[in-house]
Amino acid sequence: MEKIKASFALMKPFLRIEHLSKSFGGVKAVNDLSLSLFPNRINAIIGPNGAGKTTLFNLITGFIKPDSGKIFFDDVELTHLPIHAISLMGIKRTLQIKSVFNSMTVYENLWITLSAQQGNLNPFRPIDRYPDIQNRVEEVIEQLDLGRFQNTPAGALSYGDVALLEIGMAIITKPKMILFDEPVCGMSPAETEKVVSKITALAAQTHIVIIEHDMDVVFKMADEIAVLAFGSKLASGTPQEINSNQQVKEVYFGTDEVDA
Amino acid sequence: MSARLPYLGLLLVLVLAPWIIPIIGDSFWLSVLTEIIIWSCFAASINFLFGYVGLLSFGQALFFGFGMYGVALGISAFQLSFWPAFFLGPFSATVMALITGIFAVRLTWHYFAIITVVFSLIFYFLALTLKSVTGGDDGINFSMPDLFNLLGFKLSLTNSTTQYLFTLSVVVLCFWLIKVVMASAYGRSLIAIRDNDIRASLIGINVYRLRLSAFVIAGFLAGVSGSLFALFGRYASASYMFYHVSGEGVVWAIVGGVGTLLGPAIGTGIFILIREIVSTHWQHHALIVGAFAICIVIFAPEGIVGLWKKLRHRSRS
Repeated sequence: MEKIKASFALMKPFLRIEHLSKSFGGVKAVNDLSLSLFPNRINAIIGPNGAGKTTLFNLITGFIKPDSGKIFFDDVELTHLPIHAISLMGIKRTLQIKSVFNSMTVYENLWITLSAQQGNLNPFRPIDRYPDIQNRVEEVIEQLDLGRFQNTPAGALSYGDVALLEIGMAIITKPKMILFDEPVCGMSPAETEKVVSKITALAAQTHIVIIEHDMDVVFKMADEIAVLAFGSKLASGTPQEINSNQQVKEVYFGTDEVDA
Repeated sequence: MSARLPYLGLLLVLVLAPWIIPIIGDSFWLSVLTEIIIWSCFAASINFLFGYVGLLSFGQALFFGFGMYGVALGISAFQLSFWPAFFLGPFSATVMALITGIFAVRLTWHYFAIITVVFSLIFYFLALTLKSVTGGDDGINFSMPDLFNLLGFKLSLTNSTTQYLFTLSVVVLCFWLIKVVMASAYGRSLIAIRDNDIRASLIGINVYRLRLSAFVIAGFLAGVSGSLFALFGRYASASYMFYHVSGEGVVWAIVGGVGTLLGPAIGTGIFILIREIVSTHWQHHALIVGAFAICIVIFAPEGIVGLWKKLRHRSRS
């Protein structure tokens, strides 16, 4: 633990959030939030309902624009970029309600994802004439064990398999950072275990940030946890530190006023 | 190869139609077939937006009208010969689609449908008012320049077979282009946007720009059909810019099957045939059209082509 602390000073954060604020009507969803996330670990963001977790992801990925404050990824400011431009920088996201291209097959979903990352819009070259993309798609299909469903329309997949496909679409471009918004929400224990092991394996290749409600999952996976409450950072630290933090306990588990 | 066989068969029948039709019936049907082919291209324009990008336009008649007037004014006002005039029609429709599209594709769903109606109404009334240029409801007539005139060898669209084959070639070329484009990365990106525009932007697709490009392509297709129709009737009229025309195209495309290549052509063919056959006997032929459209939408929401695919799939399994 001491070692990790010491290395903070040497390492540069990949994601830097400075005084970020966003209100909806009178509600401050994110309130003067400053946060730095460091590489080589799985970062988790937790907090009670309405703490501003998903709003934070929406701000990072360009779905909404902040009222004030700035977001930097590898020292590049993201704050005013559109969604697709942020994605092309290598920042990928899975959604809380799993979302893929339902009329397309698993193969086509992965194909179009990689093709879009390459900025490929050639209107005359048939899609089966891209050996590089094809190889990478087959690689990811194998990696995620989706071979059986290769030619199944995504709309006909089970919930767990859609989640796997979504992860496949996140990793196929070899992104720099993946934001997982409640990756195991609504999954069976078996599916949860599968997804958790996939995400853990990814940590070696890319920066990972997770929002998750399932505390068992968070404490099992995360190396570093930031706790949000009412749009601000309440605490951050290792799972052990968070576990023993009195303030966190009050907001999260303790008092009756807050709905965990 | 076997997948191409039905296409080639259909094409062969269509190419030979000018010689087949006089054998089996009145040559009046050749001009009906010409009309079907022209309006198929119009329905394809609506399908390109609705079937492939998920934008339902009720304003494609605007671009049809620009195609019509491009050709008619090109010939009658600017004294252009055939090919420059035939270029001017689709070109002006495409430019118009770019200008209106910049505003229209910021919206989706019913907002998009409404703004396309509004745009087409604005220009419809403008065309009605500017009678000195457009001829208003009466329209403007022109005399047909030669297709080409080389060393005394003349070819003109005044000949109904030449007219038919010219129309067929242009429209087949358009459908072939749609087919090629939809099998490409660009086409797949459009389908991705139709399926899920949020996910499309999350994988790095510039949704606005692609929707705009599709709107421009659809405007071009409508412009081509308008130009062909101007050459077919040798006139242009503001009445073809009315949203009623757009609505008919929407019905043709939906009944035939949106999101399929030939669906719009099949829908167009059926409705124009119904009109031609029934209207000579009964003036309320629109009733049959309406009832038929309602039945299709209820019992085969994916259109005739969708129904056909489903039946074939069922008989195989």
